[in-house]
Amino acid sequence: MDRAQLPVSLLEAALGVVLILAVVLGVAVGVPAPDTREPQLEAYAEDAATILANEPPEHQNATRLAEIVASEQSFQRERGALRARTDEILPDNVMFRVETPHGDVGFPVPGNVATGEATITTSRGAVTIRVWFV
Amino acid sequence: MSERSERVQRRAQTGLPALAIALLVVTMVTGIGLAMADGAISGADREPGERRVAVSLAAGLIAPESPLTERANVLDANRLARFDETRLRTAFPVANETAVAVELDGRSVAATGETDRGTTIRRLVVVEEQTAETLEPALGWQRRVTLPRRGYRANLTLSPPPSTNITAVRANSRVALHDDDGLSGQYEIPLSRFETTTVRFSASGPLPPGSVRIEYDAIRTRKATLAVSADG
Repeated sequence: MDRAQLPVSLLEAALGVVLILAVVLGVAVGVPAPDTREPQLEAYAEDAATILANEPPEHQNATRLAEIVASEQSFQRERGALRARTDEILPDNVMFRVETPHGDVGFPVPGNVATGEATITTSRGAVTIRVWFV
Repeated sequence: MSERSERVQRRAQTGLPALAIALLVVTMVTGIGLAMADGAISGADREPGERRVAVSLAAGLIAPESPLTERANVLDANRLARFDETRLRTAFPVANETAVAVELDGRSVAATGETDRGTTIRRLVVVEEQTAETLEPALGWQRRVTLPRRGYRANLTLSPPPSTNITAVRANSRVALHDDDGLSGQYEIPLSRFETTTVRFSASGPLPPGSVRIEYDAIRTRKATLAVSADG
């Protein structure tokens, strides 16, 4: 009969603690962390696109970008310069890919990362810039 | 008192402290749990107000109609140097209600308060600097000179020798100045920033060095990062 002296209220308290911790865990895990990276990436992509699109040309055409995507030959000739210039415009902790009607420049876009993206329309087609954090 | 009732009394007395301990534990865990949940929720607070202020102020500062820019994303170095807190408050009244700070490559441009704990948005810009440069070319037999940098306009000072009439000045085959009776004195001609300009002179006689002086706005650009922080 001495075994009956085990205090039931302590058992109840242990159950209550488990219940409360479960609810708290649900709140702590269920609330998502704020996503502050994507708007910044969108801003970077948009800025890089605006700067590239408004740069004066080196040889002909209205802008530098129009000059680069004017034809297959001009794109092949200028792709190194386009890559270097985009790399220079963007901050060091950002990687990029520029997609043009004649081919792509930059790094392959990895899956599963947040990317920012901006598109510029030129007379030869759309040029899309994608950026993501390293 | 019988042996049995004595035992019952002992049992009741051990139940009371156990209940007190149980209540204490449950109360403590509830308190800790509430604090943890509160921390998790406040940690997920996106501060939408200050984020919106930072995003829109950064967008407004680099927009084509901003007091800082020459065109979209291109800041003018002179206007940037003159920009301060007063001009920021005048152009963007939101700076009166929220503490904001504008930095270019880590150097403060204008600030209306402390923003150490605020939200920061970075934008990529190009800073354009216009410097006046003078060229006094020795014109060859083709009588032309190519300006080494692109610019918006050029000032020509023509002082030909008395026996020579300068009849026309062309900028890239476009006639910029023309007078059959002879051009002399100061003229301003507009240039294009999209192409390198070659200035060509037509004259009836020799043009020794010094008879033409060209003053032009050379455009120099450098890349920079504009950081806008908002707090409050």
